[in-house]
Order: sequence, then C-alpha cells, then structure tokens
Amino acid sequence: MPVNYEQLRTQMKDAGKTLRLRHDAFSRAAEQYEKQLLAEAGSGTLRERLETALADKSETRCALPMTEAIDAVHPLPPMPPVQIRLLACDGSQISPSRHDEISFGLINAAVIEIITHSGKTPRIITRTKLLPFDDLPSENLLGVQRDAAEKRFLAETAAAAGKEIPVFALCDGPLELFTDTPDMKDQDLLKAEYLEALSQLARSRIPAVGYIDRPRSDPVLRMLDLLRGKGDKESKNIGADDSMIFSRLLGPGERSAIFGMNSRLNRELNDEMKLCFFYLNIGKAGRPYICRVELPAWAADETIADMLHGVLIEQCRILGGHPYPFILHRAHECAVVTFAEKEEVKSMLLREMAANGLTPPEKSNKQIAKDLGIR
Amino acid sequence: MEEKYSYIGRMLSANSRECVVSALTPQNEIPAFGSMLRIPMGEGQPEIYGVVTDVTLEEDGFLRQIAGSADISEEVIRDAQENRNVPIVIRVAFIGYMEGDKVLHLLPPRPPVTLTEIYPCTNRDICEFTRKLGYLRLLLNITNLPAGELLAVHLRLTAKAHVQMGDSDWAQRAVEEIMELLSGSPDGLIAVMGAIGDAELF
Repeated sequence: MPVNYEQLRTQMKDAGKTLRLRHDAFSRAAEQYEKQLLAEAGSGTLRERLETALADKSETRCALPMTEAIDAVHPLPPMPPVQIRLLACDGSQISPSRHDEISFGLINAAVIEIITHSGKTPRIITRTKLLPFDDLPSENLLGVQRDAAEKRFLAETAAAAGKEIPVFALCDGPLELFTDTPDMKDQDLLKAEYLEALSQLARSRIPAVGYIDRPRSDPVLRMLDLLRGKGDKESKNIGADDSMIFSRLLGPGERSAIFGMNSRLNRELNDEMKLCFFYLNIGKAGRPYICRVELPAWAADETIADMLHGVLIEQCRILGGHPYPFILHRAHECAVVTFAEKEEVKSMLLREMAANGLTPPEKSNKQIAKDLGIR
Repeated sequence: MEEKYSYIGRMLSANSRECVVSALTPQNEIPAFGSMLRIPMGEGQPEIYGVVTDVTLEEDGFLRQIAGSADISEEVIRDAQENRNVPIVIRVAFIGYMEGDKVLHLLPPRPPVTLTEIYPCTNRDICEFTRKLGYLRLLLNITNLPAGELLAVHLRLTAKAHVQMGDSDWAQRAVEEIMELLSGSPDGLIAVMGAIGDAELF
C-alpha cells in the first residue's frame, strides 16, 4: 500500500483544525478588505494617494482604478437574442520524453467558432505542429510556445472572420504571457509573437478576452494594501485573493468595475493595448463563484463590457450547475491530445523511421517496467 | 452498381461468439440494429460476418451537464450531434465467415484482433452470405436479447436486399427455415413468429 494511512490519520485531524483557523482568518480579512474598498470608493483622493504610493513602489503589481468607482456593481444586462460571433482557442502539447521509443514534441491548437442564436453548427479548426527534432524545448518553453501558437492561431482566424456582427476572441486563462523563467531561450521572440497576435486582434477591432476560472490573483488587495501603506502578510498566508472581496460584493450574474493594472507588461504596452480586467459572479444566490475577465483597454468601455458580460453569462448557463463558458470547454475538448492520439503519432513516426531504413528504437527500461502496472 | 465501402468503426474486444465495435458519430451513419457487417481479417484469412445486436450511444459527464440545463440552444445541440466525438458502441454477433468464395455458417475459428476495421455489407454481400439459411440457427441461439425482435428486424432488412437483387421469395424461405429450426420448441416458435408477424415481410 503506497500511502501510510495510519500516519495520515493524526495529520488529518491537525489539518482540519488548521483549515478552520485559516477560514476564520480569511473571513475576518475579507470583511476588512471589503470595508476598505467601500471606504476608498468614496474617497476623493484615491487616485492621488495611489499615484504617490506607486511612485516609491512602481514595480508593485496591483489594480488601478479607471473611470468608474472601484465598488461599482453592474447587474446582468438585458440579453436580447442577438447574434455574436464567439471564437475560442485552446491548445495542448506532447512533451518530449527520453523514456519513449522516440523523443518528440507536438503542439495542437484548436479554434472553435460559435455564432450565438444562429442555429448554425459551430465550426472547428485544428492546427497540429510536430516540433523540430534538433531543437526540442524544455517543458516550460513548450508551454510558452503553445500559448504563443494559440494566440497567433486565434488572431489569424478571428481577423479572417466576418465582422458583420460583434466578435469576441476568447482564451482560457490570462491574456498576459508569463515568460519569466530565467533560463528560457527565445522568450523575447515568443513574447513579440504573442503581442503581435493581440495587436492583430486590436487592429481588427476584435476584443481579445482572457477568462480565468477561480482566479487566485490579488491585484485589488495589493492596491488596497498600498493605499493603507503596508502589505498584509496574514492575508497572503491564508491564501487571500480578490475573490474574497468580490464574492461578497457581487450578486449572481453581476460584474465589478473595470480595473487597470500596474504590471510590467502594461508598462511596456501603449495605452490602447494595456490589459484591464473585471470580476464576474457566475454563481448562485448564497454560492458565489468569481471569475476574472481580462480585455484590452481599447475594448474596456461599457457597451463592449456589457455585451461581453451578457454573452459570458449565457455561455456559462449552458453548463448548468457548474457554470463555465461552453465555448472554452469545447475548445479544450478539441485541442486536447489524448493518450491514444499520442500513441498514434508515435506509431506514425516509428513507421517513417522503418521506411527510411532505421531500426525502430524501444522505450527505456524504466518505462517498460512502469508499463507493467502497479500493485 | 457496386456500393462504396467505408469502414464504420474499429473492433474493441471480441470472443468466439461476438465482438464490440467503437464507431464515431459524425463520420458515418450508425449501423442499424439487425443489419449485417463484415470484418475482413486480412490477406489469406477468413472474412467474418456478423449481425448488429445492440447499439449504445455512450454519454459523458459533459453531455449530462448540458442535458440538465433549462435552455439548450440549437448551436449547442448541433455541436453535440455533429462535432463531438461521442463514442458509439456496437455489439456484433458472429453468424459465419467466408473462406475465399465459400460461405460457412459457423462461428469463426478465431476472433478478429483488436482495432480491426468493420465494414457495412452491401446488398451483394448480404445476398451472397444469406442465400443459404444455416446462419439463422446462430441467431436463434443468441440468449442475451429477445431472438424474435432481432430476427424480425434482420429479416426485414435482409429481405429488402434480396428483393433489390431480384429474389422476392427469400423472406418466405427464411420464415420456413425458422419454423423448422423451432419445431421442437412451440413456446419459442410462438414468440418468434409473433415478432416476425410485426415485420410485415409479405
């Protein structure tokens, strides 16, 4: 038996007590942060004080108030059955493994297009790329390559789509590309490629939208910390994030104000392209569920945000009791490379090796032993 | 004119009596209950024939979640029906095999290997294999579903193929064969003939 349940039994008792204490501390912190947000929203000096605080700590990653009050709550707008062209992209990869018969990498990206209220069958396009054998990437680099490939594919497909109706280009996860692994080569190139994809969407006047399910980021808390003049160590220790405020502030279907962001990327981008975000409660009464929605500053006006707000809620409702945008889940389903598909691609490669007079190699002994199964 | 062949799925598992086949929704029409399929085993090997005895459309958690929603848009329904790879599992009972041109109404010597391609039968395949009626014995021996229901649908489909190929008496001969096979089992005969009566063969 691999797990020593006897040893775990006492640890579980302690864990239960710890979790109770964390929960109580979390609730206290949430209440304090909510009070502070509401108080700051009414302060006429909010922006000025934040600017002063940021002058000393310009690197602090935090939210920035935009034109509306930071405690603004937008109810679910009316959702007339209008057609909206939704595109969503997701990707997956086969990571090279030295234990396989042959070490190879592959990126698979899928775009799905749904025209809401059209009655039309959604369109699915996939793009699969076998990576060059002489330059197989690390796991981290492959993830960034995949992100960049997804955004490029989405931008190209969206730019070519009809603009006779409103269009949104959705991604699962943040719009920001995180490439800060120190040893990662080509990251500047990939970042440039990534930003070009976002620019292409902006030029086509198609809002790029990042949808983050169960976000764990805390830019609004960090903004409030800055305004208070100190960081809150306790809130970090208990896993506090912005959801703790907005799950109290937002009712079902409501969204928050749109915030700007003080981030390294935004400091590099022009004003139109800077990334903004709002929070959205897709949960039910008494069971809030907060997600975070990112979009570029040029699209952060009330008309576009309301349309996006409505269509995201509509998409989430398709999945009933566990709301999540239908189109994003389908993009994931279309992009994911299954184990069977990986095996098929590997077989194709091995056949090609044989056709070129090479003896197909075997798996590593370690892998062969693992494949025997575990008891 | 020879109909176009295309495989409808691949075999997942098999024993000496039957096999289980996985087909995908969008690519092909789902084979009908009671229809005939053929399983080529490769060069120099027999070609196994079978009858569809069950078709299962497998669900998944995602479909279950969508189905529980109050309003499902037309786009979502079309996506589920035309785009999603929802597996269809087909159970096929073996009814014999062909060795070269020779038809043998016996269980095959060995089952096909996994992932073997399965093909629908053309009218020519059906008529050639069912010209003699010994295979009906194997259908009557199936115990995991009502034999009468399977026979009724199978006879209806097969008789149609024979009529299209110019043999309008096949159904009559098939029913007489079944009566002969069940002559020692009056209860079984009544049940089977009741189902066949509903097939409106004549």
